[in-house]
Amino acid sequence: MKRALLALLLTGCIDTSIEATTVSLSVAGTDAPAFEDRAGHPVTLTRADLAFGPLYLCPGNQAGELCEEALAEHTDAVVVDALDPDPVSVGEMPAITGTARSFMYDLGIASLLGRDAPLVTEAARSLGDVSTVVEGQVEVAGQTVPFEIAVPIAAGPMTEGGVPVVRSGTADAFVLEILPDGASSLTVRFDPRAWLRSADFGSLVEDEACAPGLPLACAGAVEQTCSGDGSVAATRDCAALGEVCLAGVGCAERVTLDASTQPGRALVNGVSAGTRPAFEGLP
Amino acid sequence: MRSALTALLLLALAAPASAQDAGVPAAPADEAPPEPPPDAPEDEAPEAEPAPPEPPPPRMVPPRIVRSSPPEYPESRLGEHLHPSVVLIVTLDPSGQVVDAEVEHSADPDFDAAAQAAVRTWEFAAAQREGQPIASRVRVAVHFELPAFDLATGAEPVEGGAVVEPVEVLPDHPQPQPETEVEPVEEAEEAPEPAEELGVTAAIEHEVRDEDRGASSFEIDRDVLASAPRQEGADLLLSVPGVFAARAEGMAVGHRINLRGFDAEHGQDIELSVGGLPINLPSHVHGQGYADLGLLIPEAVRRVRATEGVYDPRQGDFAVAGSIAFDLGVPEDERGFRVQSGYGLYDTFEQLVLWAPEGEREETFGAVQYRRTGGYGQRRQGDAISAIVQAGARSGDWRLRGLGILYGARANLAGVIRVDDLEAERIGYYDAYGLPTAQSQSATSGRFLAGFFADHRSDTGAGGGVGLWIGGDLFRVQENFTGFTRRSRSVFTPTGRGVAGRGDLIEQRNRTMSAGLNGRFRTAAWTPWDWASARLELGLDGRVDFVEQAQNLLDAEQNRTWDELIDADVFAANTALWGDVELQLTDLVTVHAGARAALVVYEIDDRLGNFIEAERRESFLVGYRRSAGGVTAGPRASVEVKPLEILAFRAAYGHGYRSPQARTLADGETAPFTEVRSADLGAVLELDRALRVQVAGFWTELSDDIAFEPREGRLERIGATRRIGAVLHAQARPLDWLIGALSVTYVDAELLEPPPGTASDPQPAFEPGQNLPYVPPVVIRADLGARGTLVDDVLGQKLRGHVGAGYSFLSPRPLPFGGFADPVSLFDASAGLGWGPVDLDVSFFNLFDVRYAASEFVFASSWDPDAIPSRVPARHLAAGSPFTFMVTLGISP
Repeated sequence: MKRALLALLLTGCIDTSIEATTVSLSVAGTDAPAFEDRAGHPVTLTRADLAFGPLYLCPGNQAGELCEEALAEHTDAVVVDALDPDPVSVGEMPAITGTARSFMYDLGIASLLGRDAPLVTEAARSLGDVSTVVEGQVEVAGQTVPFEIAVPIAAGPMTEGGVPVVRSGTADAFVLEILPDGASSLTVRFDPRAWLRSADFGSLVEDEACAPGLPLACAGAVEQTCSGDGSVAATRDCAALGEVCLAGVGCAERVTLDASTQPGRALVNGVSAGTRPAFEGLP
Repeated sequence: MRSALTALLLLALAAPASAQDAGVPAAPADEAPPEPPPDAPEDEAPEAEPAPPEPPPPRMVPPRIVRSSPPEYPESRLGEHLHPSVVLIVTLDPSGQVVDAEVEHSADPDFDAAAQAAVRTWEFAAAQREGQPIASRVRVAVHFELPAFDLATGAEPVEGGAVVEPVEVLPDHPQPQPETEVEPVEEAEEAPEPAEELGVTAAIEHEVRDEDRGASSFEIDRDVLASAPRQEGADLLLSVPGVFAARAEGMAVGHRINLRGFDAEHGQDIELSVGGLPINLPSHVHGQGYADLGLLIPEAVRRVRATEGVYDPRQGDFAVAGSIAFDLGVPEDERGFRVQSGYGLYDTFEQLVLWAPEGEREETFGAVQYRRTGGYGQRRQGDAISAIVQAGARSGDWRLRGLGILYGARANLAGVIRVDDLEAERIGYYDAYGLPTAQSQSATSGRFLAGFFADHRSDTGAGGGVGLWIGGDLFRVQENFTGFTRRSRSVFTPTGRGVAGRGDLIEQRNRTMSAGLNGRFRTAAWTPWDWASARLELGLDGRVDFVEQAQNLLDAEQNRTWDELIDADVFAANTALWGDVELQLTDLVTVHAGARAALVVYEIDDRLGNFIEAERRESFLVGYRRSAGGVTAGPRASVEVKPLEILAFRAAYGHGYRSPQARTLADGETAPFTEVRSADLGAVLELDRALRVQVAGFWTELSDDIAFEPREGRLERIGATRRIGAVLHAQARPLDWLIGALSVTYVDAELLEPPPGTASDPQPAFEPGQNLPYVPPVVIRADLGARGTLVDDVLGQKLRGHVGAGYSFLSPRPLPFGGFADPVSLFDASAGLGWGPVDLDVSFFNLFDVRYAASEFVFASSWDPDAIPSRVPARHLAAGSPFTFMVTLGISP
């Protein structure tokens, strides 16, 4: 009792209102791998890994450069299995109490304020120096086409450095009360279906006829090797090989796409600027 | 009300004339009488036959000493080398006989008694009114000197070793004072016994004025200040109740000062003055009211006066938490020529040369102090030099004083470190970050101040004074608080991105040229009844400041500028008028009631105002020239009830202000003064010099407060605040050789409204009653000193000795975003021996080597440019000094 009184005397009846605390951070995906792309092609995902972080929760309604002081932060990145609906704990974010009204995050590749080259986190490195790797198959023109898309997502040379690439704006309704004593938690849930909704896989499989100057053409699942005059010099049944015939590629087990392809660009846009992940906060 | 104002105005106009007509400028009291003044002004005299003015008949002649005998120097005190003065109020009857001798200013009981005994043997010529002797009271100063002491003062050495100073007591040739306001003492003429309320006071003391307003007015005398060791002059502040001061940033940057619930930073909440010269700098780029007390030389400070709260109309701009004044001078027993050298830990060296001519007034001295240190950790080296010259003189009723101060300092700064880096052992407690942007932190400051002051007090009790001063200040600092978080708005990469990440090394430059004046006039006492008297005092303070300031971001390599943040000139003029009425109602009650009004005007050339990026500068150029001004006024009042000679109860209320930082004003904006209201209630118990105890409760409320913003390296607005607390101060001299002082201050400091929102934080978190960060609820200070003769004769000289100690305690300070700074508990001690002209001292600072933070901050920083930056506010600290000692050898030939 005496000690309590002494402590009260020495510190006064102190109520500093804002306190240092932590926020439990978890990440999760969505158990719904099947969807249709923009052209209606059925897509089924088998892998949707995303490097997520660093993450900042900000007090203002707009993140970005205005977020000079954050209320909570995770200054590392983690690989999210976006097909696993069970939350995976990332750890405790250092935080201060208050109301977070905006967020911003990078996707494993962070732009630093004073460096030209972005920082590739361990999480992104584990994915092959990219931000996300998505694998699956799409039904196109009667063929089932396995695909893999791997894209890095980082601030470009024309954008301000040192600011995370994904930033919430005033249209994003985000509120998280950060409470003392670590009483708040946050689960960021990703839905990979949203990432590829604007993709069009139809161009992967297109029936073509041999023509002068065209080395390969696909007629359904049959690969045609074209001669110089545009006639068919040889054929190969990809289906018999357990493969698909891809435009410009011929028989292949799967298609590997990057950010220069339409599905790749769609993935970049979908992850960075499309539908936001769900922030499931407690309380 | 209107008639009262008219009366005040008439008094104000009449006052200077009255002072002049008293014959003051041309006629010192001990010189020949001046020509009698004309009856009428020249322009009213007939031109053809100017009538010779008739000298008015004398109305009042003050008493004078006819014969004096010296006091006996108390035999028991001969070994202490004391030269004290005792001031007595002597009551004379109409025959000039001494009927009472009351101690007004005590030396100690032995000397008081000796002085009283001597004065009772003196013969006086009684005061006269209209040629008739009347009873009167006169102030007499009796000065004691040792028999062997050879004074060069012109005072008379006398048998027994004591000296009286009749020149200090009464004019040798009292003159008619036809225009003075001296009231006749009707009661004295009629009463057979001398009356208590006699109206004639022939005092020659300069400006006798009650400084005490409220129970939180403190006076820390030199013996207390000298009891504990001080590393530098500003450390004298530690003995002021409720104050804690520390060099948070380093040499050449002002102390960070806490005063009873105020984190006054570098002085924005405290009106600081040295020898009457104002120290606070308005609209300084490092913080409004910035004040650096590095110019103080502790050996040249004879007293520190503090008025905590704002209750005296003389308290001006920045008197928010209160006012602290350093009086300069060297007391008689320390006068002479002194050379003092000190060397201590961390290659710290000090050299003092002080010359205080013996026989001259206390104010007269010259001192130069140089200080160099290698620093107690990385990047803490510094040099500083301060020179103070002051001369005081008396000419008749005028007391004149000139003062000049020159100061220069340059230091490397360590900056702040993150506590999490410290805990992870990524950096040492006394280290600085190794990055060039942190290793380039430094500060330079220089200041020149000069002033001339003249005080007048006539034998009627009326008085006044004028002062003129000029000053110049240079300040430049390079500091990085936040590491690598800034982006340039002025310099772009070829791709159009703002250059960023070159280190947040903020350069601040500030140059101020100032000039000011002050004047005041105090009427003689008006005594309408035996039991009541009143005085009116009117004053004027004014200053102008020309400020050039800039703030840039520097790339540590070659100090290349990579962003410009401030480039401005400010002209500021601040004029204040004040008035104060003192009512004395019997001996029991004294009331002060007054008011102060101030007008400030600004002209601001903000060359980076209306900032737009270069590629968008299509319609206008960057720049924002503007002017603004404002007026504030408020009452100040206090009352003292003194039921016993030793006990007084005091209450006070005041309304003060702090002027705004000019650059924050918009064109035509009515300058938003920070309004402060404070009240104080307490008691003072005083047993001569043996014991003085003050207890007070206080309340202070600010309309808007400011706090340090590390991102910008300057002060920013936070909102309305309130402080409620109490202070206890005790000062005891139980034995001749022993002095002790203790102060305990408790305060609850709260934020009353949410701080203003920003773009990044539009709705800052706030709870009513939220405590102010950085403010320690409890501050304790104790000083203890013993000084005396150890052996009467060692090789023909006395062996003197002294020991002293000082203890400062600061309770845990709440920090922004929760948490508390660790408490601070510091113990300093010193001991010394003196033999003849030689003194050898050793001083220990932070004796128990307590590791403490001179200041703590909480903000976001990022110190690794290759890592993902942190944006959540984190604790940072600036390390305070560890254990150190200094050995000082002084020679006073």
